[in-house]
Amino acid sequence: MNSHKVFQLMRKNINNIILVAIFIVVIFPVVWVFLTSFKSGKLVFDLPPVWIFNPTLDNYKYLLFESRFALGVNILQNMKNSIIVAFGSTLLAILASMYAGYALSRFRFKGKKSFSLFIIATRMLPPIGTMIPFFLLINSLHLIDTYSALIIAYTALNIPLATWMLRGFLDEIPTELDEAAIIDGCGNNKTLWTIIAPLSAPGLMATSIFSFVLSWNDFTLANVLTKREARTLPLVVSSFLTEEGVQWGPLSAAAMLVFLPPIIFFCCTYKHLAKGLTLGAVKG
Amino acid sequence: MQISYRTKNNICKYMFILPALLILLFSVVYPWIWSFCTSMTNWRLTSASVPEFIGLKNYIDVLKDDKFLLSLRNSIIFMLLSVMAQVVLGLAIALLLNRRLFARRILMIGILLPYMLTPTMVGLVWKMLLHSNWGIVNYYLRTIGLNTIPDWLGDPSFTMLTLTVVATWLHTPWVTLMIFAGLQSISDEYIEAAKVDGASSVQIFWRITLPMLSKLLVIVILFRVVFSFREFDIIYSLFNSGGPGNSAMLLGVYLYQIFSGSWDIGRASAVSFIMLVITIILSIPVVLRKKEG
Repeated sequence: MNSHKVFQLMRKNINNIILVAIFIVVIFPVVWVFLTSFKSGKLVFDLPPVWIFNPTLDNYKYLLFESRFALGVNILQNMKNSIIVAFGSTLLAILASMYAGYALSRFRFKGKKSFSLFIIATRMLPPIGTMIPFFLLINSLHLIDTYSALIIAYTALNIPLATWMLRGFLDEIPTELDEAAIIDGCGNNKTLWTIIAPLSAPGLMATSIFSFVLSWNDFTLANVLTKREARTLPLVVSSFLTEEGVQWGPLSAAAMLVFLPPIIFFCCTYKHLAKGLTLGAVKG
Repeated sequence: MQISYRTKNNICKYMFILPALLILLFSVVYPWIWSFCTSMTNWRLTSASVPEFIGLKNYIDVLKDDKFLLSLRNSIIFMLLSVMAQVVLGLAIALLLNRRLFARRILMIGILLPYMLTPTMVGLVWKMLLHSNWGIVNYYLRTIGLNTIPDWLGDPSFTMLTLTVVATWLHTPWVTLMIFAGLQSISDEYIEAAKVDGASSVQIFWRITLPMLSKLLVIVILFRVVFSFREFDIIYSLFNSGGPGNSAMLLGVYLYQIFSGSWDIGRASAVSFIMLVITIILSIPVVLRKKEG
């Protein structure tokens, strides 16, 4: 009788059970890395894996402070680089994309269709293919290994998607509001920033975060545009830890450090982010 | 001089798109044109001599290079395998998520999480998970009694499978998200009506859901095709370069090797351009569909 009831309950919730299984498989690598980053030296390689243990911060200490003396890598500096570059490029990309997205959403002008096609076309360009053109450009400007190099590259990389997302969010705000503001003597520019931007704050936030993460996650472009001073976190971590052989503890700590901003941002703004990403796809 | 209100208004409209347009022209279009010119020269960063014009020689050399043909072939195989896996899984998960569920929000956040993660680090994490001796994946495979344990990273015949597994883990969330949004936009009325008429859920899927999703599915597939073609980060972090027996030699890796190995900018530009042409050909349908919509 009881087992029959359990079976009934399982049948009723079969979708949930399958999804929970998928959920576990998907987040397993992240959870495993998270736990490994707190394991002490010997435990890291233990099989079967240990799930309950005394967590230590040794790996993080090694990564952030000791690796500097052991391997001559200053992770804190690279983290600073990553943050500056991601912030700078996000700010510029959002500024340019807000104007472009507003124009695409509100104005009728000659060449509007070509402009929006141009935006989509640049989005399809492969970063790995763009690597050489970017290198030529940055090299000729004598900007190799500077923040400016990466900020220019990431701004260009972020504009197409940011414009597209912002346009979708702005389309959802009724145009009557702009019209009223303009009749009241508010210029287009002022209307955009004082009336429309605050109303689209969640969308603006989601787009900024997306843009930040895109810059934060890049490896390909940073790899050829920097040499030493401006190297970003993913580059340094992957090069020095793979050459060192099997340092799984510090490697896991590094992975968590790099994953942390995307994970936090994603959990906080998941709803708006998902909406922004799908706006164009479902409609178009 | 008097500028009429209309003209002023028109200029203002163009001022709005100007920043984005200028940035893209300066940092995308102009370097691409330059790169095209470079691809016709024998410019090497290591030599001080002035680059000479050599016409299409770089292109001919690349197209004749066995390694290029191998990487093109590998890229196509990788693209087919991974896009198929991502679309099938993404569709299945999206259909499940669209049913009545408890804790949907948490399930979705977890299932979609890999989408935001840094590809290079994802590659390194999977490198640990798939390690032949200490990797947890092989440990569990041994535990369930599998006789032949795959050497994911060392055996050339497993390279494509390894890449597909990691790429699927990383990119399926995006596919799921897009299809889920598409499913949400299908009105319940159609499905209710079909149920009233006695249609089974299999019939509803094939006759209603799938046809209504078809347009979106095409776009999703095309995007994944284009983006899979240029996969680099995860391959590079999993296999460092070409992998065992050059089995992980895909176009991105090939281009990177020419650039960092020989500093032959002319030739690297030619490879970039070939990749661009392939991308353009693959993305024409996307752009045309967007134009209609």
